[in-house]
Amino acid sequence: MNRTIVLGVIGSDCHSVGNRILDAFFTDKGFRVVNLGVMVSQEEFIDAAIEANAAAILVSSLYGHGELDCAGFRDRCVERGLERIVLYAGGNLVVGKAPRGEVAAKFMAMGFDRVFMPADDLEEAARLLAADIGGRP
Amino acid sequence: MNRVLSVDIGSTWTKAALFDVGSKTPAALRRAAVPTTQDDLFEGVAQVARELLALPTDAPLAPALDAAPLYACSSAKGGLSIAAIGIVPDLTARVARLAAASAGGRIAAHHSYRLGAREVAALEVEQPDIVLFCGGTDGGNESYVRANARALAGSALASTILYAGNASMRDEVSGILRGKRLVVVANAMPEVGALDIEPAREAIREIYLGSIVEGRGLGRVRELCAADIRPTPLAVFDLVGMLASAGREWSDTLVIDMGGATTDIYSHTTAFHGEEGWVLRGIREPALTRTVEGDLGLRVSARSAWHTGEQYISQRLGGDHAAGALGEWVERAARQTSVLPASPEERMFDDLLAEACLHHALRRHAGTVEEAYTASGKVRVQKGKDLRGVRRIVASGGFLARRGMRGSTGSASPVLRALESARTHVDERTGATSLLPEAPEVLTDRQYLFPLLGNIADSYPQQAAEIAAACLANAHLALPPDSTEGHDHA
Repeated sequence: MNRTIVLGVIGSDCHSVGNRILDAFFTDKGFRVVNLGVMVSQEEFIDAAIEANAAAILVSSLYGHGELDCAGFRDRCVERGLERIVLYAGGNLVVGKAPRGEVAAKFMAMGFDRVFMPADDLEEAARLLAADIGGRP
Repeated sequence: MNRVLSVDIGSTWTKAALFDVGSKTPAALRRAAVPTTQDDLFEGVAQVARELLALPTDAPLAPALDAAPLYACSSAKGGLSIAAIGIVPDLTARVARLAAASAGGRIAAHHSYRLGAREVAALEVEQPDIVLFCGGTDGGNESYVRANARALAGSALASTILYAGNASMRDEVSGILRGKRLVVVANAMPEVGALDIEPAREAIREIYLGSIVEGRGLGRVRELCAADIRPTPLAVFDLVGMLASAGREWSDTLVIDMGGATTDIYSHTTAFHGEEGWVLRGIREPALTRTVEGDLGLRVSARSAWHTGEQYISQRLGGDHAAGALGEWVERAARQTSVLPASPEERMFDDLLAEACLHHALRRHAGTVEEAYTASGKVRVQKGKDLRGVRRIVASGGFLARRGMRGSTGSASPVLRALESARTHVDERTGATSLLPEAPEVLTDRQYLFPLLGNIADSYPQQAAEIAAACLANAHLALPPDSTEGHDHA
């Protein structure tokens, strides 16, 4: 199974602590992590995914503007030939306290496969990621 | 006295200098130039060598060269032409161009993503010396690499193919390209954003020596040389890398070589400083790099330079009152590559075209910065190379040797004017500005010694750097009347 994933914090967001934790965690779980760090644009995620032949892109957003930054992400992946790539978004994706279902629905409508909240279990996320990648050969 | 003879075989002129590298103050002793002898490049080299060594026309050269060893570089007969291929324009396709340019190549073509029939057909016409084939990180992309290997395998290309892509694809690529001349080296971008271009540069040097030197009619020259012949841009590249050893004031230098066909920029400076509040995106460039712009030149490339620089030129002209006459000048310059401006108006056109070439070449060589406001304050996002630390700019090449320090109006130098306009240019879409030097000193390589000193930079690094520094330090003092003797416009 292809276990290469691209990781980064999207937009004008320089929260780097969570990014480093995710990098260490997924590496430890046997994923090959291409970590782009903070302030990453959609194009950069996709560029890196193409060169590294990634199976998934994990987009973090901590500063509340995730919805704006992520708009059109799946469409752009399709345009660039990454129709089958697994797309996750996670963090404080919207401003204020919105219910999980509402946030998830917004991001799934944009073409993300799963959406994660700050308190979600990483172990579970890693299991889901492996399953989603495996289910999309 | 320890003397060396250095020769630069250009497409129109074969230039040479005799250097004293043995005494306490190394120096350029004599210079000479003869028209390049197209039928047999050796003849021109022999002529210019005899002239500098004060030998009779039929004297054998070899014994005289024992006392003054010969070093040579060449850009004659097309130089070293390389097609650069990668996948993503900002990643491996960019790395391929950077590696090819930094090996002294002329970028004959560059392609990203999948090579289509049209691209392959264009390569077959061009028949570059080398196809630098990059793509994918190690363990990364396979589909584009496989497709491009097959496209190259099915082509009528006689070029040497240098594979510097995804290491996991080496065996498969070697299999697909077994019918071609193939050299395989380490991946030029093993991880996203991380560069390793030295193995590709070294392989290009070996391919040049092994199969290209002979084909360019340089076999006899090589027999007389004390060191390997190299492509002229590589000689300059090596010298730029050595300049820092001439003193601290030379540690951050940018060199511009503008000719009739291309505008080349070399820089040696730290690419990213990692200051507080700065973030680097994309690839981290090496300290020493070269870019070469095939659409920006004053003669052969005048039409494309005009096209690229149209906005810059019309802004400078302030309307279109001279556009018709400028168009005529461009046509003349493109067709008749040895033409020199005669009237004040033609000089102004030549200057404008040069400024446009410089403006765009500087912006392409330099990285950019854009400001972003985050929850924790303002952040500056840098892409490409930071040239703000550059303190000296050396203007080389025929046009700049003539006009580097003063424009047709007699006041501002075209270099400084183009630099200022490039530095203050703001990208309309992103608000990004170029990371260009702010108040550099501009020096002119009036005698076009850079390639000649580059030839000896490996063997005599300290001396080459010192002579360059000494010749340039005086260059802005006196300017003799316009002269183009010995300067290539190609």
